[in-house]
Amino acid sequence: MAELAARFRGVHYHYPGVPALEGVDFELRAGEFCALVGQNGSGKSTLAKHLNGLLKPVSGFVEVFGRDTRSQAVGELARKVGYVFQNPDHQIFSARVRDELAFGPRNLRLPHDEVERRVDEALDGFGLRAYADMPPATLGFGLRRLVSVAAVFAMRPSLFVLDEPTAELDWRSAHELLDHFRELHQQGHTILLISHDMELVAEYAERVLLMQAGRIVADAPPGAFFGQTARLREAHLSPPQVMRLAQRLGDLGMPPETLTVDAFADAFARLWREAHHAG
Amino acid sequence: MLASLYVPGDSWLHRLDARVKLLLVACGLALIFAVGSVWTMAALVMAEQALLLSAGITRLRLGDVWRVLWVTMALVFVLWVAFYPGEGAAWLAWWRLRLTWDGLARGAVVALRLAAVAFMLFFWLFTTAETHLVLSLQWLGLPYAWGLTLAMALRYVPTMAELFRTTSEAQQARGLDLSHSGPIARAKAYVPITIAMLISALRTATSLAHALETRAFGASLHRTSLQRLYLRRVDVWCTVAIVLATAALLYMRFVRGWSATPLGL
Ligand SMILES: Nc1ncnc2c1ncn2[C@@H]1O[C@H](COP(=O)(O)OP(=O)(O)OP(=O)(O)O)[C@@H](O)[C@H]1O
Ligand SMILES: [Mg+2]
Repeated sequence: MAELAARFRGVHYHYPGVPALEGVDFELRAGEFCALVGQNGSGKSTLAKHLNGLLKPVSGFVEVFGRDTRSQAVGELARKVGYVFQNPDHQIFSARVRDELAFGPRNLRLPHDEVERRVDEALDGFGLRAYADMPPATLGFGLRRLVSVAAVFAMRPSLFVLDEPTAELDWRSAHELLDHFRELHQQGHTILLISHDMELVAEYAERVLLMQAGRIVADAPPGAFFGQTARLREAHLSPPQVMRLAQRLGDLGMPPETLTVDAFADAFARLWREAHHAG
Repeated sequence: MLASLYVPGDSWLHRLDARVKLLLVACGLALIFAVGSVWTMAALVMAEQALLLSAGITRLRLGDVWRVLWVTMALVFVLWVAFYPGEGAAWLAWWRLRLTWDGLARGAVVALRLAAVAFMLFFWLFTTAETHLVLSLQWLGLPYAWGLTLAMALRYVPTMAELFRTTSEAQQARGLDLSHSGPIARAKAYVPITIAMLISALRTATSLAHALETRAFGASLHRTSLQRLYLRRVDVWCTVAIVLATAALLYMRFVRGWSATPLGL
Protein backbone atom coordinates (compact mmCIF):
# COMPACT_ATOMS: atom_id res chain seq x y z
CA MET A 1 0.00 0.00 0.00
CA ALA A 2 1.58 3.20 -1.13
CA GLU A 3 -0.86 5.76 0.22
CA LEU A 4 0.97 8.79 1.53
CA ALA A 5 -0.03 10.67 4.66
CA ALA A 6 2.32 13.52 3.80
CA ARG A 7 4.83 14.52 1.18
CA PHE A 8 7.43 17.29 1.56
CA ARG A 9 9.27 18.50 -1.53
CA GLY A 10 12.08 21.06 -1.32
CA VAL A 11 10.40 22.80 1.60
CA HIS A 12 12.01 26.03 2.76
CA TYR A 13 10.70 28.16 5.58
CA HIS A 14 12.10 31.12 7.46
CA TYR A 15 10.85 33.22 10.35
CA PRO A 16 11.68 36.93 10.08
CA GLY A 17 15.47 36.84 9.84
CA VAL A 18 15.80 33.20 10.96
CA PRO A 19 16.02 30.36 8.45
CA ALA A 20 14.26 27.31 9.94
CA LEU A 21 13.75 24.78 7.12
CA GLU A 22 16.31 24.61 4.36
CA GLY A 23 15.12 22.06 1.85
CA VAL A 24 13.12 19.28 3.49
CA ASP A 25 12.24 16.23 1.38
CA PHE A 26 10.49 13.23 2.81
CA GLU A 27 7.41 11.10 2.66
CA LEU A 28 5.31 9.91 5.53
CA ARG A 29 3.50 6.72 4.54
CA ALA A 30 -0.02 6.21 5.85
CA GLY A 31 -0.01 3.93 8.89
CA GLU A 32 3.58 4.66 9.93
CA PHE A 33 4.78 5.36 13.48
CA CYS A 34 7.59 7.76 12.77
CA ALA A 35 9.81 9.66 15.20
CA LEU A 36 11.43 13.03 14.50
CA VAL A 37 14.50 13.83 16.57
CA GLY A 38 17.17 16.52 16.59
CA GLN A 39 18.72 19.22 18.74
CA ASN A 40 16.81 22.23 20.08
CA GLY A 41 16.24 24.66 17.26
CA SER A 42 16.87 22.15 14.48
CA GLY A 43 13.41 22.85 13.02
CA LYS A 44 11.27 19.94 14.24
CA SER A 45 8.31 22.01 15.41
CA THR A 46 8.52 24.16 12.30
CA LEU A 47 8.33 21.05 10.14
CA ALA A 48 5.42 19.70 12.21
CA LYS A 49 3.42 22.92 11.85
CA HIS A 50 3.58 22.49 8.07
CA LEU A 51 1.52 19.31 8.46
CA ASN A 52 -1.60 21.09 9.69
CA GLY A 53 -1.10 24.24 7.67
CA LEU A 54 -0.21 26.53 10.58
CA LEU A 55 2.85 27.33 8.49
CA LYS A 56 2.98 27.28 4.71
CA PRO A 57 6.25 26.72 2.84
CA VAL A 58 8.06 29.75 1.44
CA SER A 59 9.19 27.54 -1.44
CA GLY A 60 8.59 23.91 -2.29
CA PHE A 61 5.32 22.25 -1.28
CA VAL A 62 3.68 20.06 1.33
CA GLU A 63 0.92 17.62 0.48
CA VAL A 64 -1.21 16.07 3.21
CA PHE A 65 -3.24 13.04 2.09
CA GLY A 66 -2.63 14.07 -1.48
CA ARG A 67 -3.66 17.74 -1.23
CA ASP A 68 -1.42 20.78 -1.20
CA THR A 69 -1.67 22.51 2.19
CA ARG A 70 -1.60 25.94 0.55
CA SER A 71 -5.11 25.34 -0.80
CA GLN A 72 -6.53 24.43 2.64
CA ALA A 73 -7.35 26.36 5.79
CA VAL A 74 -6.02 25.19 9.16
CA GLY A 75 -9.60 24.43 10.22
CA GLU A 76 -10.06 22.15 7.21
CA LEU A 77 -6.81 20.31 7.82
CA ALA A 78 -7.81 19.82 11.46
CA ARG A 79 -10.22 17.11 10.28
CA LYS A 80 -7.34 14.97 9.13
CA VAL A 81 -4.40 16.14 11.20
CA GLY A 82 -4.48 16.20 14.98
CA TYR A 83 -1.71 18.30 16.53
CA VAL A 84 -0.79 17.82 20.17
CA PHE A 85 1.09 20.89 21.38
CA GLN A 86 4.04 20.63 23.72
CA ASN A 87 2.30 22.55 26.50
CA PRO A 88 -1.29 21.47 27.31
CA ASP A 89 -1.94 24.86 28.94
CA HIS A 90 -1.86 26.52 25.55
CA GLN A 91 -5.24 25.06 24.71
CA ILE A 92 -7.14 24.39 27.94
CA PHE A 93 -9.90 26.97 28.44
CA SER A 94 -13.19 25.23 29.26
CA ALA A 95 -14.99 25.08 32.59
CA ARG A 96 -15.39 21.29 32.39
CA VAL A 97 -13.23 18.53 30.93
CA ARG A 98 -16.29 17.39 28.95
CA ASP A 99 -16.59 20.78 27.22
CA GLU A 100 -12.88 20.87 26.52
CA LEU A 101 -13.18 17.57 24.65
CA ALA A 102 -16.28 18.76 22.77
CA PHE A 103 -14.61 21.93 21.47
CA GLY A 104 -12.86 20.28 18.50
CA PRO A 105 -15.78 18.12 17.33
CA ARG A 106 -18.10 21.16 17.58
CA ASN A 107 -15.72 23.16 15.43
CA LEU A 108 -16.05 20.38 12.85
CA ARG A 109 -19.80 21.12 12.94
CA LEU A 110 -20.73 17.56 13.84
CA PRO A 111 -24.31 16.87 14.96
CA HIS A 112 -24.95 17.05 18.69
CA ASP A 113 -25.25 13.31 19.40
CA GLU A 114 -22.10 12.55 17.41
CA VAL A 115 -20.21 15.13 19.52
CA GLU A 116 -21.55 13.45 22.68
CA ARG A 117 -20.55 10.01 21.42
CA ARG A 118 -17.01 11.14 20.69
CA VAL A 119 -16.63 12.91 24.01
CA ASP A 120 -17.75 9.75 25.85
CA GLU A 121 -15.38 7.63 23.83
CA ALA A 122 -12.46 9.99 24.56
CA LEU A 123 -13.32 10.15 28.27
CA ASP A 124 -13.26 6.35 28.51
CA GLY A 125 -10.32 5.88 26.18
CA PHE A 126 -8.06 8.09 28.29
CA GLY A 127 -9.45 7.20 31.70
CA LEU A 128 -10.90 10.67 32.29
CA ARG A 129 -14.47 9.65 33.15
CA ALA A 130 -14.00 10.51 36.83
CA TYR A 131 -12.91 14.05 35.93
CA ALA A 132 -15.55 14.76 33.29
CA ASP A 133 -17.23 17.58 35.18
CA MET A 134 -14.15 19.09 36.76
CA PRO A 135 -12.44 22.26 35.52
CA PRO A 136 -9.43 21.00 33.54
CA ALA A 137 -7.20 23.93 34.53
CA THR A 138 -7.16 22.75 38.14
CA LEU A 139 -6.03 19.19 37.36
CA GLY A 140 -2.43 18.07 37.79
CA PHE A 141 0.00 18.28 34.89
CA GLY A 142 -0.28 14.61 33.89
CA LEU A 143 -4.06 14.84 33.71
CA ARG A 144 -3.97 18.16 31.82
CA ARG A 145 -1.71 16.44 29.31
CA LEU A 146 -4.24 13.61 28.94
CA VAL A 147 -7.10 16.10 28.53
CA SER A 148 -5.27 17.91 25.75
CA VAL A 149 -4.53 14.61 23.99
CA ALA A 150 -8.09 13.31 24.43
CA ALA A 151 -9.36 16.61 23.00
CA VAL A 152 -7.40 15.98 19.82
CA PHE A 153 -8.40 12.31 19.79
CA ALA A 154 -12.09 13.30 19.87
CA MET A 155 -11.64 14.91 16.45
CA ARG A 156 -10.67 11.51 15.00
CA PRO A 157 -7.83 12.63 12.77
CA SER A 158 -6.00 10.04 10.67
CA LEU A 159 -2.61 11.62 11.32
CA PHE A 160 -1.43 12.54 14.80
CA VAL A 161 1.42 15.01 15.17
CA LEU A 162 2.82 14.89 18.70
CA ASP A 163 5.23 17.69 19.62
CA GLU A 164 7.18 16.44 22.65
CA PRO A 165 4.05 15.01 24.29
CA THR A 166 6.00 13.32 27.08
CA ALA A 167 8.03 16.34 28.18
CA GLU A 168 7.60 16.81 31.94
CA LEU A 169 5.75 13.49 32.32
CA ASP A 170 7.06 10.79 34.65
CA TRP A 171 8.20 7.43 33.26
CA ARG A 172 4.90 5.68 33.81
CA SER A 173 2.66 8.45 32.43
CA ALA A 174 4.90 8.79 29.39
CA HIS A 175 4.58 5.08 28.66
CA GLU A 176 0.84 5.08 29.24
CA LEU A 177 0.43 8.00 26.87
CA LEU A 178 2.51 6.42 24.12
CA ASP A 179 0.74 3.08 24.63
CA HIS A 180 -2.46 4.86 23.58
CA PHE A 181 -0.76 5.96 20.41
CA ARG A 182 0.69 2.49 19.78
CA GLU A 183 -2.88 1.21 19.91
CA LEU A 184 -4.07 3.93 17.52
CA HIS A 185 -1.17 3.03 15.25
CA GLN A 186 -2.25 -0.61 15.26
CA GLN A 187 -5.73 0.55 14.24
CA GLY A 188 -4.15 2.18 11.18
CA HIS A 189 -3.48 5.77 12.27
CA THR A 190 -0.32 7.55 11.20
CA ILE A 191 1.82 8.98 14.02
CA LEU A 192 4.63 11.52 13.90
CA LEU A 193 6.30 11.77 17.30
CA ILE A 194 8.76 14.55 18.13
CA SER A 195 10.87 13.63 21.14
CA HIS A 196 14.20 14.12 22.86
CA ASP A 197 13.84 10.80 24.68
CA MET A 198 15.78 8.20 22.72
CA GLU A 199 14.56 5.35 24.95
CA LEU A 200 10.97 6.11 24.00
CA VAL A 201 11.87 6.60 20.35
CA ALA A 202 13.62 3.22 20.24
CA GLU A 203 10.72 1.55 21.95
CA TYR A 204 7.80 2.96 19.98
CA ALA A 205 8.86 4.19 16.56
CA GLU A 206 9.33 2.08 13.45
CA ARG A 207 11.18 4.81 11.61
CA VAL A 208 13.39 7.64 12.84
CA LEU A 209 14.11 10.94 11.08
CA LEU A 210 16.98 13.10 12.26
CA MET A 211 16.90 16.86 11.72
CA GLN A 212 19.91 19.09 11.78
CA ALA A 213 19.95 22.79 10.88
CA GLY A 214 16.67 22.66 8.97
CA ARG A 215 17.35 19.50 6.98
CA ILE A 216 16.59 15.81 7.39
CA VAL A 217 20.00 14.16 7.56
CA ALA A 218 19.11 10.59 8.50
CA ASP A 219 16.09 8.39 7.91
CA ALA A 220 16.14 4.75 9.03
CA PRO A 221 14.43 2.15 11.21
CA PRO A 222 15.53 2.57 14.85
CA GLY A 223 17.89 -0.41 14.83
CA ALA A 224 19.89 0.91 11.89
CA PHE A 225 19.43 4.52 12.98
CA PHE A 226 21.06 4.11 16.36
CA GLY A 227 23.85 2.11 14.73
CA GLN A 228 25.12 5.24 12.94
CA THR A 229 27.45 6.17 15.76
CA ALA A 230 29.38 8.93 13.99
CA ARG A 231 26.28 10.66 12.70
CA LEU A 232 24.61 10.51 16.10
CA ARG A 233 27.64 11.98 17.81
CA GLU A 234 27.65 14.81 15.29
CA ALA A 235 24.03 15.56 16.24
CA HIS A 236 24.85 15.26 19.97
CA LEU A 237 22.59 12.26 20.37
CA SER A 238 23.34 8.91 21.87
CA PRO A 239 21.54 5.58 21.48
CA PRO A 240 19.44 4.22 24.38
CA GLN A 241 21.65 2.88 27.16
CA VAL A 242 20.54 -0.69 26.66
CA MET A 243 21.61 -0.45 23.03
CA ARG A 244 25.00 0.94 23.97
CA LEU A 245 25.40 -1.98 26.31
CA ALA A 246 24.45 -4.38 23.50
CA GLN A 247 26.93 -2.68 21.16
CA ARG A 248 29.68 -3.14 23.77
CA LEU A 249 28.82 -6.82 24.10
CA GLY A 250 28.81 -7.28 20.33
CA ASP A 251 31.86 -9.58 20.28
CA LEU A 252 30.13 -11.93 22.73
CA GLY A 253 27.40 -12.43 20.17
CA MET A 254 24.88 -9.84 21.40
CA PRO A 255 23.00 -8.42 18.37
CA PRO A 256 24.01 -4.70 18.18
CA GLU A 257 20.49 -3.67 17.19
CA THR A 258 18.98 -4.61 20.52
CA LEU A 259 16.67 -1.68 21.27
CA THR A 260 14.74 -2.48 24.41
CA VAL A 261 15.36 -4.04 27.78
CA ASP A 262 13.02 -6.91 26.90
CA ALA A 263 14.89 -7.65 23.68
CA PHE A 264 18.17 -7.47 25.58
CA ALA A 265 16.94 -9.93 28.22
CA ASP A 266 15.77 -12.37 25.55
CA ALA A 267 19.05 -12.20 23.65
CA PHE A 268 21.04 -12.47 26.86
CA ALA A 269 19.09 -15.55 28.02
CA ARG A 270 19.66 -17.19 24.64
CA LEU A 271 23.42 -16.46 24.74
CA TRP A 272 23.63 -17.72 28.33
CA ARG A 273 21.88 -20.98 27.48
CA GLU A 274 24.08 -21.50 24.40
CA ALA A 275 27.21 -20.91 26.47
CA HIS A 276 25.93 -23.28 29.14
CA HIS A 277 25.27 -26.06 26.65
CA ALA A 278 28.62 -25.58 24.98
CA GLY A 279 30.55 -25.37 28.26
CA MET B 1 10.82 36.31 19.08
CA LEU B 2 11.89 39.29 21.15
CA ALA B 3 13.13 38.53 24.64
CA SER B 4 12.62 42.08 25.89
CA LEU B 5 11.98 45.60 24.69
CA TYR B 6 15.51 46.68 25.63
CA VAL B 7 17.97 46.75 22.75
CA PRO B 8 21.48 46.34 24.19
CA GLY B 9 23.96 48.85 22.85
CA ASP B 10 26.51 51.50 23.64
CA SER B 11 25.17 54.55 21.83
CA TRP B 12 24.96 58.07 23.25
CA LEU B 13 21.35 57.40 24.20
CA HIS B 14 22.28 54.17 25.98
CA ARG B 15 25.00 55.92 27.94
CA LEU B 16 22.86 58.86 28.92
CA ASP B 17 21.96 58.67 32.62
CA ALA B 18 18.57 56.98 33.12
CA ARG B 19 17.32 59.98 35.13
CA VAL B 20 18.26 62.41 32.36
CA LYS B 21 16.44 60.17 29.94
CA LEU B 22 13.40 60.29 32.19
CA LEU B 23 13.60 64.09 32.10
CA LEU B 24 13.95 64.00 28.32
CA VAL B 25 10.82 61.86 28.07
CA ALA B 26 8.88 64.12 30.44
CA CYS B 27 9.86 67.27 28.51
CA GLY B 28 9.20 65.52 25.22
CA LEU B 29 5.73 64.54 26.33
CA ALA B 30 5.00 68.08 27.51
CA LEU B 31 5.96 69.40 24.07
CA ILE B 32 3.98 66.72 22.25
CA PHE B 33 0.84 67.69 24.11
CA ALA B 34 1.51 71.42 23.81
CA VAL B 35 1.97 71.79 20.08
CA GLY B 36 -1.07 71.61 17.88
CA SER B 37 0.20 71.97 14.33
CA VAL B 38 0.28 69.02 12.03
CA TRP B 39 3.61 70.16 10.59
CA THR B 40 5.33 70.42 13.96
CA MET B 41 3.90 67.08 15.04
CA ALA B 42 5.16 65.39 11.88
CA ALA B 43 8.57 67.01 12.41
CA LEU B 44 8.64 65.72 16.00
CA VAL B 45 7.90 62.16 14.87
CA MET B 46 10.61 62.40 12.19
CA ALA B 47 13.10 63.76 14.73
CA GLU B 48 12.32 60.87 17.09
CA GLN B 49 12.93 58.36 14.31
CA ALA B 50 16.26 60.01 13.48
CA LEU B 51 17.37 59.99 17.12
CA LEU B 52 16.38 56.35 17.66
CA LEU B 53 18.22 55.36 14.46
CA SER B 54 21.27 57.28 15.65
CA ALA B 55 21.12 55.28 18.89
CA GLY B 56 21.48 52.04 16.98
CA ILE B 57 17.83 51.00 17.04
CA THR B 58 17.36 49.18 13.74
CA ARG B 59 14.85 50.05 11.03
CA LEU B 60 13.46 46.55 11.55
CA ARG B 61 12.61 47.32 15.16
CA LEU B 62 11.06 50.69 14.27
CA GLY B 63 9.10 48.89 11.56
CA ASP B 64 7.71 46.51 14.20
CA VAL B 65 6.46 49.48 16.20
CA TRP B 66 4.87 51.07 13.15
CA ARG B 67 3.14 47.82 12.22
CA VAL B 68 1.34 47.86 15.57
CA LEU B 69 0.78 51.62 15.56
CA TRP B 70 -0.63 52.33 12.16
CA VAL B 71 -3.89 50.44 12.73
CA THR B 72 -4.68 52.47 15.82
CA MET B 73 -3.53 55.67 14.11
CA ALA B 74 -5.77 55.02 11.12
CA LEU B 75 -8.73 54.28 13.38
CA VAL B 76 -8.21 57.43 15.44
CA PHE B 77 -7.85 59.52 12.28
CA VAL B 78 -11.03 58.15 10.71
CA LEU B 79 -13.09 58.55 13.89
CA TRP B 80 -11.80 62.07 14.45
CA VAL B 81 -12.54 63.15 10.92
CA ALA B 82 -15.97 61.51 10.99
CA PHE B 83 -17.11 63.10 14.23
CA TYR B 84 -15.35 66.43 14.26
CA PRO B 85 -16.09 68.51 11.18
CA GLY B 86 -13.53 71.24 11.81
CA GLU B 87 -13.75 74.88 10.89
CA GLY B 88 -13.90 76.63 7.55
CA ALA B 89 -15.58 75.75 4.28
CA ALA B 90 -16.26 72.07 3.61
CA TRP B 91 -14.90 70.88 0.29
CA LEU B 92 -16.88 67.68 0.55
CA ALA B 93 -20.26 67.28 2.19
CA TRP B 94 -22.05 63.99 1.98
CA TRP B 95 -24.84 62.82 4.26
CA ARG B 96 -23.53 63.85 7.71
CA LEU B 97 -19.91 63.87 6.73
CA ARG B 98 -18.29 67.28 6.19
CA LEU B 99 -14.65 67.34 5.20
CA THR B 100 -12.63 70.49 5.84
CA TRP B 101 -8.87 70.98 5.71
CA ASP B 102 -9.00 72.01 9.34
CA GLY B 103 -10.81 68.79 10.34
CA LEU B 104 -8.40 66.57 8.42
CA ALA B 105 -5.41 68.33 9.94
CA ARG B 106 -6.83 67.92 13.45
CA GLY B 107 -7.34 64.21 12.83
CA ALA B 108 -3.77 63.93 11.61
CA VAL B 109 -2.45 65.80 14.66
CA VAL B 110 -4.18 63.37 17.03
CA ALA B 111 -2.99 60.30 15.09
CA LEU B 112 0.58 61.61 14.86
CA ARG B 113 0.55 62.55 18.53
CA LEU B 114 -0.11 58.90 19.30
CA ALA B 115 3.00 57.89 17.36
CA ALA B 116 5.03 60.69 18.94
CA VAL B 117 4.09 59.56 22.46
CA ALA B 118 4.83 55.91 21.65
CA PHE B 119 8.29 56.65 20.26
CA MET B 120 9.02 59.03 23.14
CA LEU B 121 8.39 56.19 25.58
CA PHE B 122 10.55 53.88 23.48
CA PHE B 123 13.44 56.34 23.88
CA TRP B 124 13.43 55.24 27.43
CA LEU B 125 12.37 51.59 27.08
CA PHE B 126 14.55 50.61 24.10
CA THR B 127 17.77 52.07 25.47
CA THR B 128 17.61 51.67 29.25
CA ALA B 129 18.65 48.41 30.91
CA GLU B 130 16.13 47.02 33.37
CA THR B 131 18.29 47.68 36.41
CA HIS B 132 18.75 51.33 35.48
CA LEU B 133 15.05 51.66 34.79
CA VAL B 134 14.25 50.48 38.31
CA LEU B 135 17.01 52.62 39.84
CA SER B 136 15.81 55.78 38.12
CA LEU B 137 12.27 55.25 39.39
CA GLN B 138 13.62 54.60 42.86
CA TRP B 139 15.54 57.87 42.62
CA LEU B 140 12.24 59.61 41.97
CA GLY B 141 11.14 58.30 45.35
CA LEU B 142 9.02 55.36 44.25
CA PRO B 143 9.34 52.17 46.34
CA TYR B 144 11.70 49.60 44.89
CA ALA B 145 8.86 47.08 44.51
CA TRP B 146 6.96 49.49 42.23
CA GLY B 147 9.90 49.98 39.97
CA LEU B 148 10.51 46.25 39.84
CA THR B 149 6.84 45.62 39.08
CA LEU B 150 6.97 48.01 36.16
CA ALA B 151 10.19 46.48 34.88
CA MET B 152 8.73 43.00 35.11
CA ALA B 153 5.49 44.01 33.45
CA LEU B 154 7.52 45.43 30.55
CA ARG B 155 9.66 42.33 30.48
CA TYR B 156 6.52 40.22 30.04
CA VAL B 157 5.03 42.21 27.14
CA PRO B 158 6.88 40.20 24.47
CA THR B 159 6.27 36.97 26.40
CA MET B 160 2.55 37.65 26.36
CA ALA B 161 2.65 38.38 22.62
CA GLU B 162 4.39 35.03 22.11
CA LEU B 163 1.85 33.30 24.38
CA PHE B 164 -0.98 34.80 22.36
CA ARG B 165 0.52 33.44 19.14
CA THR B 166 0.98 29.93 20.51
CA THR B 167 -2.48 29.73 22.10
CA SER B 168 -4.07 30.96 18.92
CA GLU B 169 -2.17 28.30 16.94
CA ALA B 170 -3.22 25.61 19.43
CA GLN B 171 -6.90 26.52 19.14
CA GLN B 172 -6.78 26.82 15.36
CA ALA B 173 -5.27 23.33 15.24
CA ARG B 174 -8.46 22.19 16.95
CA GLY B 175 -10.54 23.69 14.18
CA LEU B 176 -11.15 27.19 15.61
CA ASP B 177 -12.01 29.46 12.69
CA LEU B 178 -10.72 33.02 13.05
CA SER B 179 -11.82 34.20 9.62
CA HIS B 180 -15.34 35.19 10.67
CA SER B 181 -16.78 38.38 9.32
CA GLY B 182 -18.79 40.55 11.63
CA PRO B 183 -17.42 41.92 14.89
CA ILE B 184 -19.48 39.75 17.27
CA ALA B 185 -18.66 36.41 15.63
CA ARG B 186 -15.03 37.51 15.55
CA ALA B 187 -14.95 38.50 19.19
CA LYS B 188 -16.56 35.18 20.13
CA ALA B 189 -13.92 33.28 18.20
CA TYR B 190 -11.25 34.87 20.38
CA VAL B 191 -12.80 33.65 23.65
CA PRO B 192 -11.04 30.24 23.70
CA ILE B 193 -7.71 31.95 23.02
CA THR B 194 -8.16 34.67 25.63
CA ILE B 195 -9.22 32.28 28.39
CA ALA B 196 -6.42 29.79 27.74
CA MET B 197 -4.02 32.71 27.73
CA LEU B 198 -5.33 34.11 30.98
CA ILE B 199 -5.00 30.76 32.73
CA SER B 200 -1.42 30.39 31.49
CA ALA B 201 -0.63 33.96 32.51
CA LEU B 202 -1.97 33.41 36.03
CA ARG B 203 0.08 30.24 36.30
CA THR B 204 3.18 32.17 35.25
CA ALA B 205 2.41 35.00 37.67
CA THR B 206 2.02 32.58 40.58
CA SER B 207 5.26 30.79 39.91
CA LEU B 208 7.04 34.11 39.39
CA ALA B 209 5.79 35.32 42.77
CA HIS B 210 6.95 32.08 44.37
CA ALA B 211 10.32 32.36 42.69
CA LEU B 212 10.73 35.91 44.05
CA GLU B 213 9.74 34.88 47.54
CA THR B 214 11.98 31.83 47.65
CA ARG B 215 14.82 34.21 46.86
CA ALA B 216 13.84 36.28 49.88
CA PHE B 217 12.38 39.22 48.01
CA GLY B 218 11.04 41.75 50.48
CA ALA B 219 12.94 40.26 53.40
CA SER B 220 15.03 43.36 53.96
CA LEU B 221 13.52 46.80 53.71
CA HIS B 222 16.73 48.70 53.08
CA ARG B 223 18.19 47.48 49.87
CA THR B 224 21.64 48.29 48.72
CA SER B 225 22.42 48.16 45.04
CA LEU B 226 25.39 46.77 43.19
CA GLN B 227 24.86 49.15 40.32
CA ARG B 228 24.67 52.89 40.71
CA LEU B 229 23.57 55.71 38.48
CA TYR B 230 26.38 58.20 37.81
CA LEU B 231 25.82 61.67 36.53
CA ARG B 232 28.70 62.47 34.15
CA ARG B 233 29.58 65.96 32.95
CA VAL B 234 27.84 65.34 29.64
CA ASP B 235 24.68 64.25 31.50
CA VAL B 236 24.64 67.58 33.30
CA TRP B 237 25.03 69.49 30.02
CA CYS B 238 22.27 67.41 28.47
CA THR B 239 19.97 68.22 31.38
CA VAL B 240 20.64 71.94 30.95
CA ALA B 241 20.09 71.69 27.19
CA ILE B 242 16.86 69.74 27.58
CA VAL B 243 15.43 72.18 30.11
CA LEU B 244 16.42 75.26 28.07
CA ALA B 245 15.13 73.86 24.80
CA THR B 246 11.83 72.85 26.33
CA ALA B 247 11.42 76.21 28.04
CA ALA B 248 12.16 78.02 24.78
CA LEU B 249 9.73 75.93 22.78
CA LEU B 250 6.98 76.24 25.37
CA TYR B 251 7.53 80.03 25.42
CA MET B 252 7.23 80.10 21.63
CA ARG B 253 4.08 78.03 21.80
CA PHE B 254 2.21 79.80 24.58
CA VAL B 255 3.48 83.38 24.37
CA ARG B 256 4.24 83.73 20.67
CA GLY B 257 1.47 81.41 19.42
CA TRP B 258 3.81 79.21 17.45
CA SER B 259 2.34 75.95 16.22
CA ALA B 260 -1.02 76.60 17.85
CA THR B 261 -3.46 75.82 15.07
CA PRO B 262 -3.71 72.54 13.11
CA LEU B 263 -2.55 74.07 9.85
CA GLY B 264 -0.43 76.92 11.22
CA LEU B 265 3.33 76.95 11.49
N1 LIG C 1 7.98 32.20 16.10
C1 LIG C 1 9.28 32.23 15.80
N2 LIG C 1 9.88 33.39 15.42
C2 LIG C 1 11.18 33.44 15.10
N3 LIG C 1 12.00 32.39 15.10
C3 LIG C 1 11.48 31.21 15.47
C4 LIG C 1 10.10 31.06 15.84
N4 LIG C 1 9.88 29.77 16.16
C5 LIG C 1 11.06 29.14 16.00
N5 LIG C 1 12.02 29.99 15.58
C6 LIG C 1 13.43 29.65 15.27
O1 LIG C 1 13.43 28.69 14.22
C7 LIG C 1 14.37 27.67 14.45
C8 LIG C 1 13.71 26.31 14.49
O2 LIG C 1 12.81 26.28 15.58
P1 LIG C 1 11.91 25.02 15.94
O3 LIG C 1 10.98 25.47 17.02
O4 LIG C 1 11.31 24.45 14.72
O5 LIG C 1 12.99 24.01 16.55
P2 LIG C 1 12.76 22.63 17.30
O6 LIG C 1 13.59 21.62 16.58
O7 LIG C 1 11.30 22.35 17.45
O8 LIG C 1 13.41 22.92 18.73
P3 LIG C 1 12.98 22.38 20.18
O9 LIG C 1 13.59 21.02 20.32
O10 LIG C 1 13.62 23.37 21.10
O11 LIG C 1 11.49 22.38 20.27
C9 LIG C 1 15.06 28.04 15.76
O12 LIG C 1 16.26 28.71 15.42
C10 LIG C 1 14.10 28.97 16.44
O13 LIG C 1 14.79 29.89 17.23
MG1 LIG D 1 9.95 22.32 19.15
